[in-house]
This record gives sequence, structure tokens and C-alpha cells, in this order.
Amino acid sequence: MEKKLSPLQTVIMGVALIVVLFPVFWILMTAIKPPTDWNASPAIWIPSEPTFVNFQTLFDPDALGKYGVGGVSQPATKAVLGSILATFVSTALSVIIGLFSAIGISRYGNNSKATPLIILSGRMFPPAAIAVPFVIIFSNIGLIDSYIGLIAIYVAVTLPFSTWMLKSFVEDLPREIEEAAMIDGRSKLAAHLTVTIPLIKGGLFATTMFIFILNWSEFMFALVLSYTDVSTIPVQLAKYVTATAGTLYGVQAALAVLAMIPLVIVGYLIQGHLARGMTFGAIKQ
Amino acid sequence: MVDTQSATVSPVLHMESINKSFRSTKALSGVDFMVPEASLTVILGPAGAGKTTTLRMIAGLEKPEAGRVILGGEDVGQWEPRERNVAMIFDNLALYPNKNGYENIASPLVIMKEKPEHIRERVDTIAKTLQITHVLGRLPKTMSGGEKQRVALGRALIRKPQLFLLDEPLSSLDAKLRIELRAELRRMQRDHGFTFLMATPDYHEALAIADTVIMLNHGKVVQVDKPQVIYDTPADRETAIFVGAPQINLLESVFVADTEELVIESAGVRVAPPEQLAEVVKRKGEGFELGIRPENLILTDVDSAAIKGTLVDIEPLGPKSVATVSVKDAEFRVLIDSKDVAALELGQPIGVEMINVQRMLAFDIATGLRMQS
Amino acid sequence: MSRPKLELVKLRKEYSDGTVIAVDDIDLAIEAGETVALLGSSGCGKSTTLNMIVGLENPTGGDIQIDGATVVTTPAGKRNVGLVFQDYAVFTHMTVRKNLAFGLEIRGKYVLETNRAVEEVAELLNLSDKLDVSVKELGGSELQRVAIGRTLVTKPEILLLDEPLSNLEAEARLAMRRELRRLQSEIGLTIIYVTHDQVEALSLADRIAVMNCGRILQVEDTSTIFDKPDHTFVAGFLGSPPMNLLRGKFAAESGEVSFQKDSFTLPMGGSGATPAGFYTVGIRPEALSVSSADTPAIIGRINNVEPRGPETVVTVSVGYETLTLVAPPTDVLHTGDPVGLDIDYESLVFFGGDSNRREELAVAGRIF
Repeated sequence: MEKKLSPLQTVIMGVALIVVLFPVFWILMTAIKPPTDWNASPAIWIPSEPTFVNFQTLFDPDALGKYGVGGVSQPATKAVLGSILATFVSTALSVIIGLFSAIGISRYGNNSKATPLIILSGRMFPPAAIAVPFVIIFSNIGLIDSYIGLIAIYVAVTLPFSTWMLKSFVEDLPREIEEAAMIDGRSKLAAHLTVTIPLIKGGLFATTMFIFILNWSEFMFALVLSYTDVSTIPVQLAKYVTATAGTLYGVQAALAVLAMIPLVIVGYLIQGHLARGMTFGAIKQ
Repeated sequence: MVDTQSATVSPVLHMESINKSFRSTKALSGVDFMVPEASLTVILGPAGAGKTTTLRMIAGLEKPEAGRVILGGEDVGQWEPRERNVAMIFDNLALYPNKNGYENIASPLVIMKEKPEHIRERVDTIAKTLQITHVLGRLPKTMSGGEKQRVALGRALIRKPQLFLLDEPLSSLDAKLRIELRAELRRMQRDHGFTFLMATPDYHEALAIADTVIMLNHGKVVQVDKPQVIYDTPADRETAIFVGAPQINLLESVFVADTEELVIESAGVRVAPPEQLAEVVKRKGEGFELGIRPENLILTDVDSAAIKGTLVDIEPLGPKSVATVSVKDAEFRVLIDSKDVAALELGQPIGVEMINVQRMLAFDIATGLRMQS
Repeated sequence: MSRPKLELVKLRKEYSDGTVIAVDDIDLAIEAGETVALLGSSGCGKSTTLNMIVGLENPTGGDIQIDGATVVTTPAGKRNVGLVFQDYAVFTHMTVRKNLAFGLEIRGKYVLETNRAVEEVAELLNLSDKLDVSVKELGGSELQRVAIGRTLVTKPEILLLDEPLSNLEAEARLAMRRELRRLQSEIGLTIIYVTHDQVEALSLADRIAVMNCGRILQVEDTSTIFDKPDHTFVAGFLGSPPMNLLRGKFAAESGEVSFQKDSFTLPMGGSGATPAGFYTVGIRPEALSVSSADTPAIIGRINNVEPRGPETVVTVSVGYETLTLVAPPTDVLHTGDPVGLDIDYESLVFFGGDSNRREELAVAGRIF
């Protein structure tokens, strides 16, 4: 059922779209601006001489030289690889642990009213509040500045989400189907592996993508827990400040554009599921 | 027919004093019954009686807290479902939605790692028997209710289990299909000698196809008997109300020794106690109810009737109708032929007469149990 | 003749570009204050018809008129038609009061007016003492009353109910049947039920419309449709057990007329001319009885005995045919025994062998 929008609704939608898309537009444009255009006042919308030097600088620190700007300290390759490592591993772990937790809670739990609270409580602390304590703890146990530590934090912090989302998908599946498999001859574990998991494929995919987005964009923990060995894209973005040229907006924008690509792809793939996600936890009839 | 509780023939299943609680609610207490081989036994009871819990326990999806589940002579109470040779058909059928008819039926044999040629042969035979060859290639969501039911049955049959558990297998079907398929279930059970244990809240179903009915209520076994016996002599008041429609008339009564009569105060009716109740009502004196089924009452001319009242309601039910007659503070439900409805008018004075008094029942008000000598 | 309250004129609904015809040009006129049941199996088009009357679906063709005016273009909320869904669809988070008030609040009624309407309806449905109880705590029939109440507060002129009794247990069903009939007489609404259960239809409706494959096969008073089904489908649908239907021909042997299907012979108890061609005879199970005579009309063997409580359903094999009859529970009957049957000729009906429509015949000195 397509409803026609009234003129007022169209105007409001248009304004909202502009507000949301403007930062993206600005970043795209900044990424192809030469250093002279970065801080120009009045602002330059579309550069007259677009250039890819910002992207080059990501991998060749001295590329900016021809504009008379000092080089950056390091290429972005390490950050990109670091992000890929941290995000993929922590997402995989978070989803796997979340999946089995969800099955356990949904099928073998005792339906306590406190269950939702317990699952989500892990997410009720603002990252900023627990970041410093974690730095201290990790320092003491030698996990500071290590990918293991970062991955561990990422898993811990996204586990409430993955468990919660997967639990609702598992609950949608009538338990009798797994029980039929058990009666047919499967052990409990085999029944869940061969029946439950294949039948929630869609939800599993959506959850994985959602957790991916969370981990890929994470800044606070990455910042406080990394020094030299560990580097992720969000952290790297903050490093593009030089003494001579100030903040290298163009280079930041270039890295941001690269970082955006996976998110846009993932977001497109799960847009249908995201709408469902808004009603997670709503009690059905 | 084999006597249900006979000790001479070893039953396929013996539930021995089973107790089961979920958190604080006692789901089953002291449940004890036997299921003989090659029979169709029905567990009958209202929602929440414990029927599904009982079946799940036999299947192994629940474990008993106390008591033993003895299947084929072995105590299987703690065994996993796949270790028991039992098949279960759930009320929602639980077909694998991502597998077609063939794969659904074949699944138990696939799990047992049988040879594909052997599986093919078995599935084809069963599909032909159940007349579902045409849906073997289709997914469950494209099948009709009756076809899904038969695929679920096929999946159960292919393993040749010693016991089939059916949990309200017909509840999701249309009235007409339900009646056809229950006859088919009965036919199949009889032709092949299967042992069926079926749970249902529909007493029509139980009466129609059961060899033995196990009446379950509030987690307890109330009565185990042939269907007609449960109808004619229900063990307690709740069973009498549950089994039978229109609902049985229950009227509080006392026995007056001087006149040797039963008096129903609320209706102002006096009647001689029928032979089968004479002894118990005399002994009890008071605190009991008389149970009279609507088919054992007839409407008569008000002048000559022993029970005089007013006709307050007529409910058509096809070839028969139910007339409700108000007599002082009581109401009598009477089963009448629909042909006679045209001559009646609501609000008219009418008489009620008891027939077949040998079928009258009496229930102790305090315990709810049927009084018998 | 006053104008009908609701009229369906050549109503049609197609899906998938005309390949699926859900409702096939049906005509139906419903008078104000009457109760009609749409009876049929799943997929016969009854729910689709209901949805079109309410406005949840748009017809592909034809018209729907309320009080003579077409309503096909009026949006669902404005037709003054109330719908009670099969699974009630009550708001689980709210109290009974809030559920009942919902429809009025949406329409922007004042609080006082809303409260009064809610209390009126609550009293009508015996929910007055449950008004402030959360819906989560209610049982099946109470939930259904809330669902009905929610539609009644908006004072619809026509009330539609989709399978009203199917989700209730036997005992609750009996009580709800009585409740619905009381509502009918007390508030005089025009009510349409959709159901697959013929007992439900017979006990609730003034008239029954039997549907199959998108068509209405017969619309008739409840009392008549049972005795005089117009079509073999209707005959086979109503009644539990339904009518025995056998397709065969009349024959006359030395003056004695009989009806024959292969090996099955039904003596007609008379003589005279016989109509030519195929006919289907309809024998109601109640019209057959176990005979104690020496030469009963029909001889067969007992195939199955199904106790029902006040009566027993017996299936008898006669040649290759099976007949179902209803016997008193006192009759002693065993599967496998031979049995003789008497027949009540007055109740026989005949249908054209190819048309499947009921025909009046004069045979063997009787009019059927």
C-alpha cells in the first residue's frame, strides 16, 4: 500500500535527508580536496582541482610533500589490518557465544522475568565509565596494547546485543521442530546444529552484520587500550594531526571514506532486518 | 479385546506413579496407567490437565521427578529421546519447513545412516499407503492440513516404533477433515496393529475411536475405562460435565426417609429413587447431587407432568435441539428433536418427565465423586 | 420488501492476475437484524468475502452495498462494520478497560462518553468486574468477550465474526454460543459468522450460506437447509455424521421399484414408473435404524461402531457400499455382525446424477 505524501511531508522528508546526507557529502568532497581547500573560508563545497593525494598519503606517508605539508608519521595499512583483525574475530566470537547462549536461555532457561535485565545489564554502562578501570585491569594482567585484550573487550561489550537478538530469532522457531529431530534420533546438540541454526539463518546473518558495524566503528576502547602494537581505523583517524599543518582533514576524510565502504555494503544487505530490529524484545501475543 | 489393566499380557507402556512439577506447579501427581499392544488409547482431559506433559515424558523430552516410565519392559525414565523407540506427532506437526515431503519422512532413517536405496524404498511404500506420493517433492508450506498430517504420520511410521504418541494431531484441521482423518487414524491403527497413545481435549474424538480412555484432570488420572463406560458411569462430577454435550443436569437433592423419596429443593420436585441408587442415597441422606443427562428427559404436556416449568431457551444443534426449562430456581436441559421445535414457543409453560431412570447418577457434593453401592 | 441491510452483488476476488479465483461472482442479501453464517471448508472463499465486507481487501469485481449505498470506496474504518478476529487480537499490555476504550479514543471521543460506552458494553458482556484487570490474566472465553466488546463500543451496524468458537474449549464453546445468541436478541445487530464447523453454524444462525470454491451453493433458513439441502455438497457437509450419498439408477423388477448402485439395492417400497437416468439418493443417518423384522429393507454387515454417549454411530457395509446410521446406545452391536436396517422413506432426498442439484421426484407412490 503506497501512501502518497502530502506536500508538507515531502518537504520535511527532504530536509531530513539533507541533514543526514550532508556530512557524508562533505566527507566525500573533503577526501578529494587538496590541502589548500581543507580549511578554506568561505568553505569550498566542491574542489576545483580534485586530487587523490589524500588517499595516497594513507599508504605513502610523504605523498603530501608536494603540497608543502609535512608527512604523516605512519601509513594507515597497520590500522586497516588491525581493524579487520579485531572486528572479524570479535564479531565471530560474539555471534557464536551469543548463539549458544540464546539457544540455552530460550530452550533450557527458566523464563525468569529477570532474564532480559541480566542479558542487557552488560550494556548499561557507558563505555567511558568503564574504560579507565579496564585500562588499569588490563595493564595489570598484561593485556594492554594487545589485540587479544581488544577483542576480549569487544566481545564482552557486544555479547548482550548478539544474545538478545539471536534469542528472539530462536524463540520464533517452535521448539517442537528440534524436539521432533531429537525423537527422530538426534542428540540435543546435533538437533540444534542441524535444525535450529539452519532455520534461523536470516536472523543469524542480520545479527552478525549488526555486531560487525558496532565493532568496526568502535573508538573509545580502541583508543585507551592501544599504544604501539595495536591500531584500528578510528584510532588512526585521530592521529592525523601535525605540528605544522594542524589537523589533516583531507587525509582523515580519505580514511573515513575507506572505512565507510564496508559499513555501507553491510547496511544495504541487512536493511530489511534492521526494521525488524527496532522492535526486538516486543512481546508477541 | 485385551483387558487394559491385565497383568498377563505385557503392556507396551506402563507409567508408574509419575510425579512432575514445573517450578511451583504440580503438573502430574501419581499418574499411573498402562497401554497394551496394538491398541488405541486416548488420554482425555481439558487444557492444562497434563496430557502434553505426560506424552513428552514418555518421549523423553521431560524427565519424571518420581515414578518410573516403563517402555517395552525397560525403565527408560532417564533415557534421551533418541534412545527410546517412540515416535511423536506434535499438535503443530513440527515438519522441517526447509525440507520437502520426502526429506521429512526420510529423516529418521537418514539420521540412522541407512543406505539411500533402502530409504527410498521405505519412503515410497509409506507414501503410497498414506496416499501422499504427490507431495513428496513439495515443501510443507505448500501442503494442505491433511497432507501435512499424513507426512508427519509417515515420518513417525518409517521407524516402526513400538509406540506412537499423538498430541492433539487433529486440532488444527477443519471440522469435516478432522472427522475423516480420525477415522483414517483408527483404520490404520487397526489394519497394521500399531500402538497409539493419543491426547485430546475433544471427548467426541475419544469416544469415537478409543479402545480405552484415560481421563486426566488436574494432573491426576481420574478414570480408565472403555469410552461408553466413561460416558455412562463417570468417576466424578467434573468428568460427567466434561464428557457429554449438552451438559449433564446436576441438581442438589436429599433423601427423605419418611416418604422414601428424593427431593430436589431448588426445583420443588419429588421423585422415587431409581433402583441402582436406592441404597446409596438412603445411606447418604443428604449432600449429594443427582446427575441426569439431557437425553434422558423429555418434554410433555404441562398439566400431566410431574415436573412443571417454563420453556426459556431453545438451541438448535442440527437434527436435535436443546430446550432449557426453568423450574422454580433450577434449570433442566432437555434434548429434543428439531422437528418438534416449531410447535414450541419460548415462555410457554411446559412439563418435563424423566425417562431411562436406570441411567441416573448421583455425586457426593463434598468429594465430587460418583456415589455407587 | 424492505431494502436489505447488506448486499453483495456479483462480488468477485481474483489473485495472481486472475489465475486464482477466491470469490466467484457471489450474490447475497442480508436483512437487518438477522444472523447469517458463511459455512465452508478452508480455502472456500469465506474469509476473503469477510475481509472484503470489512474493507481489508478490495474486490476485483462486483459491489458491496450497505443500506443501498455502495461502500467499496469507503475506507475500512468508516464503514460502520465491526470485525472480531479469529485469534481475538486484543492488546496484551492493556487492561480490559483500555482495550474496550481503544476504538473510541482513536475516534477522538470525550472521556466521559467513552467511559459510559465502555461500562455499557462491559455490562452487556459480563465483564464489569474485570474492567481493570490486565488482559494477560484472562482465559479464552473472556478474551473473546473483550474482542467482541472492543468492536461493540464503536456501535457498528454490522458485526462480523471469523470462526468465533474455534479457539474455545468445549465447555467455553457452549457458554459462548449462548452468550452470542443472547447478544443477538438483546441488541439486534446484523451479524455474519464465518465458520467451518456446521454445528456452530446450525446453532448460531438464522440462515446459512454454504460456500465451496468461491461460490455460494445454497442460502437457506437453518431449519430448512438441514432437511432440504439443494446440492450434494451441502448434503454431505451438514450433519454429523453427514448424509449418505449414493449415485445410481432406478429399476423396476416385476412391478417393484428399487434404487440401485452396483451391488447395492434399495427397495423403494412401491410400484410404478421409474425416472430415467442417474440420480444420487440422500439417506440421512437418522433415517436408518436397526431392524428387528424378519425381512428388513437392507441387509449388511457391521463395519465399525463408534460410541458417542447418547447414541452410537454405526457403519454398515452393504455390498461394496457403506452406510452410516445413528443407533441408540442400548443396541447391542459388534463389528463383523450381520445386521438388517429399516428405512424412513419420508426423509429421502434425490439429487440429479449429473447436476447434483436436488430434484423433486414422484416414485413408487411417494413424492420426494
